[in-house]
Amino acid sequence: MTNKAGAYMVERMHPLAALAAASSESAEVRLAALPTGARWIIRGDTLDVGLAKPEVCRATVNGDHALLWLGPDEFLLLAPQGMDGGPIATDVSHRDTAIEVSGPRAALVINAFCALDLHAAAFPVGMCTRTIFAKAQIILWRTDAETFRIEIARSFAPYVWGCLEEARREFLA
Amino acid sequence: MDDGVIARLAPDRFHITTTTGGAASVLHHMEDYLQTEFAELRVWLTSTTEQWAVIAVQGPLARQVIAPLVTGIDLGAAAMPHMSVRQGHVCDVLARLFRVSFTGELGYEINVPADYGEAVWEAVLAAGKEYGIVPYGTETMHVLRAEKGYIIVGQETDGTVIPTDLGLDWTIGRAKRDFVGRRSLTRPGMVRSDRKQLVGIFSPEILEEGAQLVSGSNEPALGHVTSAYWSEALQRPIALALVSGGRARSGQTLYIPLADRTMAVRVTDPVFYDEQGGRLHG
Repeated sequence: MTNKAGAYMVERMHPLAALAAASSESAEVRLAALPTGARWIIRGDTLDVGLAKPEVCRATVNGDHALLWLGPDEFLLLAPQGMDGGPIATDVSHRDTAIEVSGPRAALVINAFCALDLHAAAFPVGMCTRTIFAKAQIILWRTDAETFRIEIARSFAPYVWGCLEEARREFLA
Repeated sequence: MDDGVIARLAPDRFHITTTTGGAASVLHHMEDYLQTEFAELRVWLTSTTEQWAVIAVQGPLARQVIAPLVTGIDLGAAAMPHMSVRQGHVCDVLARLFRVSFTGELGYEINVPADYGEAVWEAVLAAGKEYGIVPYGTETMHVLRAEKGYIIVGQETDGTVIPTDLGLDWTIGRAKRDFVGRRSLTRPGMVRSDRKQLVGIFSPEILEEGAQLVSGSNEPALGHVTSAYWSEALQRPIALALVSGGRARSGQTLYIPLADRTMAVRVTDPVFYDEQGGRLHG
């Protein structure tokens, strides 16, 4: 068989590209479909990814790499493209996508569909957890005082995006 | 509970597929056993259902269609036989290529990371255009698999059916020291010769799924029709059925009582097409 490398190049498509392009600006609460990146689920008790093992429900950040605690033997590694997660990691770069919710009303909007207490005392910067958003399972991570990152399975992403748009409608200019 | 394909990618890594709707329950079942029955194992499960977009390319020309898109994998029949998996590139995207078939034809299932799924689908369609490629749906798939006697779990089976009833003894690793369900397979009720077994049925018209089969008037039902279709390949109606002692009845005439009449049908082998597997292994 003769294979013609490069003859059929294909483009990567972001699962939220169309929704993000149609989204409106709001200084109160912004929605962003984060760029595609590498994601690895790491299982077991050996972490060999160059990042300190995070505390329970916390993330360790080093530059553009982050390691999120999901369970006693389960971690999510986020990194730019092309990173290798090691022998006990599973590549889920395309399984999930990320939505960033930011602005003074970010917590309020998330709370429209998520029952967690997002007060800074209860859910401080650096905290992350797997939880329920409307009818979807998400990973919620507070990356800054007014910034949250939602990791969501690709097929649920438009649904979660739609819920967030609905909740922030009153804050649109 | 479900069926699927288990591919070994490395000595300690497996890629398991299930039916589309069964993935969550299979994962939960495995997680349950891992935590309660096999807690000593250093094994971890990760759902990759949404990681992979899968494109089934099936038919005698499947190899010609995908060959120009594939790099790093020898597609030859000897190098990549039926029920094998290879990792390489499709459309320059890192891919897991399965040679599997639920149609009975030579076939591949191209697994690519999901963000590339639609683009690779379009590339396969474009590559197959000169061969007359067409998308096929589940109804086509159901007919093609029935012609080969391939079962659907939940349609040919219910909670009472064991692999032996279906002629699927080859799926049981009897050399293994133990496995879930091993003890059950040797219970007296599981080895009776009058157990309901999967058979094929030739009938003069397309049967109703669920129709009862009897050996004569005032005789109890021997079983029922589980799947029934018009077979384009055979140009006649075919059906699959579970029939008491069915394999020994091959060639016999049985009867289906209908509201207004009784229909005579013939029991046959459940593999209607390409019995030797020449097309599958081509």
